[in-house]
Parts: sequence; C-alpha cells; structure tokens
Amino acid sequence: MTQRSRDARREAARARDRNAKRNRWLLPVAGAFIVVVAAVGAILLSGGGSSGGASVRPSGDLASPGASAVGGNAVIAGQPLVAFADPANDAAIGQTIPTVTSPTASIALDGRAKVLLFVAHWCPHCQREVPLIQAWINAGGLPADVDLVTISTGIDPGRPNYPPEAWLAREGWTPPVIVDSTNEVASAYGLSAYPFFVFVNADGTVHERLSGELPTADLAARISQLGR
Amino acid sequence: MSVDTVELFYGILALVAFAAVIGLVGLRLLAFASDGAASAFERVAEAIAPNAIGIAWVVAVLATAGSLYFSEIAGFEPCRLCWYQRIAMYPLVVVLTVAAYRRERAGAVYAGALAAIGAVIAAYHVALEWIPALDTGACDPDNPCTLIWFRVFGFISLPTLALAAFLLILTVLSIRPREVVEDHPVTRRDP
Repeated sequence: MTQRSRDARREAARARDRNAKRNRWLLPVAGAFIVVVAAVGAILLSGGGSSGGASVRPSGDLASPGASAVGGNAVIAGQPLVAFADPANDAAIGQTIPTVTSPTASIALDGRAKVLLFVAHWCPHCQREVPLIQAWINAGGLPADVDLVTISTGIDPGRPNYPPEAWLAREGWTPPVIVDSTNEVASAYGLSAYPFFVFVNADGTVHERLSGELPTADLAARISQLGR
Repeated sequence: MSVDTVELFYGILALVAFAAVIGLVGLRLLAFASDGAASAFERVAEAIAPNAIGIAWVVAVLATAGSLYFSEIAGFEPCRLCWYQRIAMYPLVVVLTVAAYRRERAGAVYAGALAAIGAVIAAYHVALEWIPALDTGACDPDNPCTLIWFRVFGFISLPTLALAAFLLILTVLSIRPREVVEDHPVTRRDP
C-alpha cells in the first residue's frame, strides 16, 4: 500500500469520525421520536386506549377462559368413544355413539344417519370449512335422510372470533348446534383436532371419524357410504 | 393502556420497521445501477453502521418486551412456532448488549445469524396464518400455530411483528459503508 493511499484512508477515517460525532444524537432522537409517535398514534387510534381501533381481536373477558357460553349444559349418555388417532385403524368404528341432549340440539339414536361436525370458533381451519359446508348445504348437497349436527366446542372467550354463536350466525349456518361449553361432548367422541367429523350410520354405530379440513366432494362421498 | 393500544403501538412500529427495511434494501439495490443512489446509500450506511448494534439492540429489546407483554399480561399463549421465534429473539438482547458494551463488531455476526433464523421461522409462521393448509389441515385442540390472536391494520399479527423486528435487525446489522468493510480487522490486509 502506498503512502498516498494510507493518507487517503486516514482522511476517510477522520471524516467518518467527524460524521459519527455529528450523528451521535441523531439516531437516538429519531428512534425516540418514532417510539413516541407510535405510542401517541396507538392511543389515538384505539380511542384513548380503551377499545377497538384498527386492531381486530376477540371480544370477551380474557381473565376467564373457558367460561360457559349460552346454551351449554349438554347431557351425555352411553359409552364414550376412544380418543381418535389413526383413521386407518380406528377402534371406534362400529361402536355405538354416546347420545347428547342439550337445550339447542341433540344427538339421539333415532334411526337416522348423521354427520357430527365439531368446530372451534378460533380455529382457522374451522373458519374455512364452515362456509364451504354451508354453501354445499344451500346447493342441496345434504341428503334428506342424513342429519348434520354441529358441536361448537373449545369455546374460549380469550381467543379470536368469540362468541361462536355470532360467528355461525354471520356464516348463515343452518344446521343445529350443540354448545359444548365444557368440552365434554368433544371428549366423549374422542376429538383430537379441529375440525372433527364423526360419520354415524342409521343404526347409531360409528362409520368413520376424521379430523382436518374436508372438501365438500369428499364429505358427500363419505355420506353416500353411510348405512341408512 | 389496553391490550388494543399495545397491539396498535407495535403495529405502527412494525410498519416503520418494514418501511425502513424496504427503503434500505431498495436503496442498496438501486446503488448498483445509479451513482446517485450509491452515494445516498453510502451516506445512510455511514450514519447507521457505527450505531448498528445499538439500533438492533433497541429493536430486540422492544420485541422482547412486546413478546412478554402479549404472553404474560395479555394472556396470548405462545404456540410452538412462537417459542422458536422467542428462542431466536431473546438471546439477541444479551448478545447485542455484550457486543455494544465491548464494542465488538463481531457481535453483529452472531446476532445476524440468530436474526436470520428467526426471520425464516417468522416468515413461515406468517405464511401459515394466511395459508393454514400449509400445516396439517387441522387445529391442535390446545394451541395451534394457525391461531391468529389479532391483526392490526388487517395484516400485522404477532409473527408479523416478529418478522418485522428480525428483518430490521438483520438489515441494520448487515449495512456497512465500503470503507468500514475494508477496515474490518478480519478483512484488513496490511502490506
């Protein structure tokens, strides 16, 4: 390296030092300004720090998760199904379902084939599935001799999209809904994930259980295989 | 101050962070094509580079404080991917504190590696929120990663906040004026 290039580098270093000294307070002041503006903006946008604003969040009391929802108090009778794990080797297939009686809807051994759909209001997969199934129902997809019963479970006022009744109403949901405010119905049917389907033959035995999103074409195909 | 207000506060900071990242990266790319942009980037880099660890430290502290607020005070239970992002974010505060105290530029390398890992996980988490089918197609009954606690301005969720913080830290730590690179102890070649 030549003397000239060394001098040039030293001069560049001195210039950087001068700039650094000049800018010493610039960035901290700018950072503090941004934080203050963000705080003031947040307070103004949220209406004084009390509610709403541009943020989309669940309503409800965060301090009381699992609180009872309207229409709870389901009564369960019969042998519960084992926890669902492997759809290819489900021990619950052929077992008679437990019955459920609730103020809003029931699951009875009434000689009709059924699809039981367990949904959680905060689950994005359920949020995607519900409108698809409702559109399928509206298009006449559900056979007249098959009942579709919804079980609203996993209810938590601290989680998004609460309350589930409002969500289902927004979606124009027409099937009857059992409100499982204590998750006992879900447990009795061996629920492992949301959404959860239980296909029930007309004789009240389990034909199949599935978890996860199910395209309506697959739903229709499975219903067509039910014993009626 | 309500939870909504804190969400908005961090949402605004995330907007600023994204704007800064886009601006800095954009200017850096323009610098390849334009002498004017190269000169502007050089000036910005000279202002940022000596303070990069301090800026990144502030971002990491704010992100960590927000993470703890949302889980411990707001009651938003962290999911599995949230924990992975925490594993990347929380040590950044310590690494950057030590690097700033010891004035070790090398700390930026370690912090940058953590921020890069966190950014990848946060990006996947954000993608999962918009495309839940990327996951198993079902919600874990306890605490699925697809659960969206809030969205500020329609798109800034918790992992989006983390992504903004990781990207800003990564961007700031990676900016160096040309002279600084040449003067770096590792790259310096004396005759």
